[in-house]
Amino acid sequence: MSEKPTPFERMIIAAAKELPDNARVFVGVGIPLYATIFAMKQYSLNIAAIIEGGNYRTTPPRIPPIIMEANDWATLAEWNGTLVDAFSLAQRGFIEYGFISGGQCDKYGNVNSTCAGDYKKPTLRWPGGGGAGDIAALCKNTIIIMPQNKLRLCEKVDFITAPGYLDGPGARERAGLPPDSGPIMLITQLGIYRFDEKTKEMYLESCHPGVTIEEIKNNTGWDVKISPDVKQTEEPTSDELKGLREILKHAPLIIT
Amino acid sequence: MSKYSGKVMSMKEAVKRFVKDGDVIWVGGVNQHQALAAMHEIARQKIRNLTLVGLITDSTVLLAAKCIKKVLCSFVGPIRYRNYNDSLIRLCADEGVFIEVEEYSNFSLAMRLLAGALGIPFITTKSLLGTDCLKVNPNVKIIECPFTGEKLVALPALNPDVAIIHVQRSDPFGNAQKWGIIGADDVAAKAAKKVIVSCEEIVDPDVIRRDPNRTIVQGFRVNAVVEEHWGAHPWFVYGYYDVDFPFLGNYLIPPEKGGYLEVINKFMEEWVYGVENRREYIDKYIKTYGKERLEALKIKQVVSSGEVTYGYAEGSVA
Repeated sequence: MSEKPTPFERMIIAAAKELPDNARVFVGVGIPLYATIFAMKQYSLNIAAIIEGGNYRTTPPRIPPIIMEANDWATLAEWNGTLVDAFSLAQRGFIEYGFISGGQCDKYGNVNSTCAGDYKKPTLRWPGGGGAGDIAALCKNTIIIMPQNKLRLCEKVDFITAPGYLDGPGARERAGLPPDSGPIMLITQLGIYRFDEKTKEMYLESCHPGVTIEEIKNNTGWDVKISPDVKQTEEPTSDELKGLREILKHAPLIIT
Repeated sequence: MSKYSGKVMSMKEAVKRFVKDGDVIWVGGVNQHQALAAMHEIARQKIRNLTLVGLITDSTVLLAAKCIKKVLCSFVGPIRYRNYNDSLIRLCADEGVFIEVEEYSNFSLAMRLLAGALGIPFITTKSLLGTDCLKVNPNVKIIECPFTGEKLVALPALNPDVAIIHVQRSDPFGNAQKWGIIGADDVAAKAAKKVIVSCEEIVDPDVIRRDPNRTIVQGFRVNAVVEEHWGAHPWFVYGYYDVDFPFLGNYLIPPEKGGYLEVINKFMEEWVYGVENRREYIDKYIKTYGKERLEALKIKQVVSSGEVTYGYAEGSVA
């Protein structure tokens, strides 16, 4: 096993490090779940991890479940209940963070997990958003994790499944979404992006080790703004890598 | 016990009596507790033109058997589309079966069922605001709150003709108990006109009465009770068995090189049409893979709760 992290591993570890301590996080299907479990185990974060079927737990499961609701996740949880109750917590304003993945993301942090191309005649159809749209609409701060290339990180998504800042400043509020909510960060295999407070546009905050600005530009569908004091993401330690690989061996079909 | 309730029957009979061509059906589970035994039986009986309401329903066999004309969902089955050309919905279209998809998020679809359960005509939410669901789904409308003026999404109530849920246990009268992550089986059963309870075990009413908080649907709302061991296989049931991932690979994962339809059709011939009922399916499983592999799916490291207690006080009688 290589001591050097893969880009995919860098992405998950970078995201796990950005997860807040002492917070309630609504965790989406796929990569977010594995990143959350990693953060709970590796950094002993005090997170209440809520999942959409109706559950929350504050301890990592015995082994990471292949399917998120599986026995391992529901066993020794603090709460098992219903989907309506889980999302009611978010709609009521009690969930500070949402953590989702998707197929496409644009410069305003809108996420598409529905289809590529025209909705009626898509060139690619993903299974659909599940609860990602609800999480992005109803939680206060959304963290997005998704590998990027020019098609996936694009200027405008083909379909808004999970609302970001829509078409710019004030648009969320005009649409009727909760005030002061929205995406705060995107983590990809290449870097970490944040959103400008005024323009709500995404900018590059940090490159993962070995990644050049040119590589970022070549893998982004618009001329993405770069922070004037762009940083380098910390390289994962061998301890972190070991911990993550221990978790990922239980995830044969992780959806990217 | 069964002779008293008249509701205990085989899945074959339950589907024949309570699921009709053209029905709107809820099939239970959000990954967990998927009512697979019921779906296989619907496929065998070739019930047509169904509208399937499901959150993350593994609807592969219903699609493959061409039972479905429309899907109301947020997640089109756990079918991984590598490529649209390989998706089951597209493959159905090639054979002249065009499946309409009505797009939701998980919460908004569950809210439609909640409105149905509450007996009111519509319900509102702040979810879906700003999304393109508003453009493609005519059943999602924006309204203004008459009290605060806030923008809200209005969703019409949904009352499925039948809800089929798979639970751990039920008494012969349909007082069905489910624990673990419930998903939306509760609101779906409450909203539905008819309810089929599929369960791992039919138990004595006394078992239910000792822990009545666990009951998710009242027996008097239930039309049929079917005992189906391994009724959710290859998916899972809390406290009973876990997901059979290798088996899911038999039909859920489109091959890299294409030819998904052949894979599905082979699965249908062998595991759906080739057996009479769930018992034969499990017998076939044991014959094909051995008893050990089935046994390995069972929950062995049991975590049990402290007891829930009820009782009577002597001093309460004045």
